[in-house]
Amino acid sequence: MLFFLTDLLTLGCINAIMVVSLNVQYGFAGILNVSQYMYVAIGAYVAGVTTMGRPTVPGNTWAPGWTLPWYLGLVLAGVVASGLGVVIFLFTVRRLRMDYLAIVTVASAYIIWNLIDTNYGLFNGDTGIFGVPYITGNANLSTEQYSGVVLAVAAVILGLFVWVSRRIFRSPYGRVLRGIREDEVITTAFGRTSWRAQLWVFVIGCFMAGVGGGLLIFYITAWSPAAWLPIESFALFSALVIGGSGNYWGAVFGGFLVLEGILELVRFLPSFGDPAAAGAFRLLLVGVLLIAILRYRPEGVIPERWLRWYGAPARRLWGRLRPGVSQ
Amino acid sequence: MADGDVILDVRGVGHAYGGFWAVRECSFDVPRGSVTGLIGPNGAGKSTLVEMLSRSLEVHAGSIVYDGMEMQRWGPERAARHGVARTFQTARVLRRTPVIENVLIGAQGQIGEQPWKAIFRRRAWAGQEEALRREARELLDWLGLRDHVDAPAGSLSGGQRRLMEIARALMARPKLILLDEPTAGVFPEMSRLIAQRVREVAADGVTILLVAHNMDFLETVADEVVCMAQGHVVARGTLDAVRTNEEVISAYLGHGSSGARRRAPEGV
Ligand SMILES: Nc1ncnc2c1ncn2[C@@H]1O[C@H](COP(=O)(O)OP(=O)(O)O)[C@@H](O)[C@H]1O
Ligand SMILES: [Mg+2]
Repeated sequence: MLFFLTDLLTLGCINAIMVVSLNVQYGFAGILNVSQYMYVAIGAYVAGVTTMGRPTVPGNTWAPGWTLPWYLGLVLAGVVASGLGVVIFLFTVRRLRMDYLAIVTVASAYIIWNLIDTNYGLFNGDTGIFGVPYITGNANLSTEQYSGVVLAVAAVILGLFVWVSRRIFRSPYGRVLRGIREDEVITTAFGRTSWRAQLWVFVIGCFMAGVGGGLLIFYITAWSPAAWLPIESFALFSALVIGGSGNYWGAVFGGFLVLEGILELVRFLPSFGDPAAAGAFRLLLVGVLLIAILRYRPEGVIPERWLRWYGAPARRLWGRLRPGVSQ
Repeated sequence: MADGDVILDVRGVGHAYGGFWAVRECSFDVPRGSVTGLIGPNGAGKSTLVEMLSRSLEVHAGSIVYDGMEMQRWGPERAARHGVARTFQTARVLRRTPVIENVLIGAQGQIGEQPWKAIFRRRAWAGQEEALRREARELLDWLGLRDHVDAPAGSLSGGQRRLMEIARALMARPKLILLDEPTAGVFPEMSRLIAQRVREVAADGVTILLVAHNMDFLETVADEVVCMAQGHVVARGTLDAVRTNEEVISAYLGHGSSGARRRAPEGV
């Protein structure tokens, strides 16, 4: 029972990190990135191959097979994911109108998925990488205890990313991003180059996604192309829209309840003897929920404007408590 | 202001939509610190010209010298960074965003827009942000929008939106302001407020080029007017001189353009 709970919370935190990463791109800046799970996957691979050493089972290959400490692997996961993000951004977002971007991001995700799936030298092709050691090294931990360890790390990182999101949201930078999202003509007429402003938030989002992927592989210890089918990006997007796009708490909610909650719920559904049914049920439920939300609560469960509702009175009160500091 | 100091020199400028030259061989200049009215019947090409001057529309012919620099190939961002601010013919606001945040979009050179500083060095920009907020509040107050500072801009009336756009343009501390029909669809009292504020802004040395139809309004604000018709400048001078100019009268009355609906300004 305890394991059920820590497992749920750990995966919930990791999912929330992914949705938060999409929120800074799409929620804050309107960047229609529908291949976010690709950056998660790249992060997972990088965190794996830089910390787990060379393959010991014959017939498997991956590079570079370093044995860095886990936290460096995690940072590298973020760095490589954001590096890939920069390249794709400069080739697409910079040149294309947002409506076309969706198509290009999907196309790039398919290309990279196929490259990794068929190329055995890099990440062991369709077999994938496996046997990633626990981040606690060789300490003797039960699955339950390890789950608690990863939960602690994931919760801290989630907290950090929510804090970064909050800082962006409340800064002039966040204001300009919202301006670009709502009406680019205005921000352009007032001297802002849209792609320059969006580049950095895109990079930050990719970094967060990569770190989320790194945490995921440290927890589940294996990764392969079957784990990141392009449809997963759709699930992330749905989670954000259902949770409340633009609101980082909405993103956290989406990660926990929509992604993790539904996955758990599906376990209790009859599978009709077909193991693929659970996966199909999950996406079906996500889809139905998405349609319902778009119909009845288009701003999501926790809308963006709640941040202002809560923010303004609190700041006013704070200002009154500390004389001389106006909001 | 040195006499004969020109901030904007429009030289033979043209723009074609498809094959149709909406503005063609258009030339005039704007003295620094002046208020220049741009008049002319509907479809004369005034908005097209304003869009070109704000660098939102391509210049297909001729050149524009702004503050000593050829600007016809700039983008709108660059024009803004060099001190050109504008309003839109149909007011553009971020409707779900509070009025003050809308106005703050106008402010240039905000330290807190640099991503790294925005996230990790709040102290580096908090002071500037507070000062800008105060300035924005003062501007909104001055333009009669005191009670709407925190309201979403979508809740403003048409006239209030135009005032908000003026506040946003002023936040940029511009050298040149382009106003496209600031009084269209605005109540007369608000129109008078706009006229008064435009004069005060001009008195501070800011140059203003504005499109208007309302003769009373122009009489109060404009030092000079430029009249356009069918893409050309047909007359230039004081309002009184221009409104009695024969070419101007015939442009408004639509001589030689059968069927075209032309709106005559009051008083012509
Ligand atoms: N986007 C456009 N596409 C094609 N023709 C246009 C467009 N905008 C304006 N025009 C035409 O260009 C001419 C000038 O328009 P405009 O500059 O809006 O005039 P004004 O502002 O003086 O009323 C008009 O004949 C109008 O029909
Ligand atoms: Mg017009």
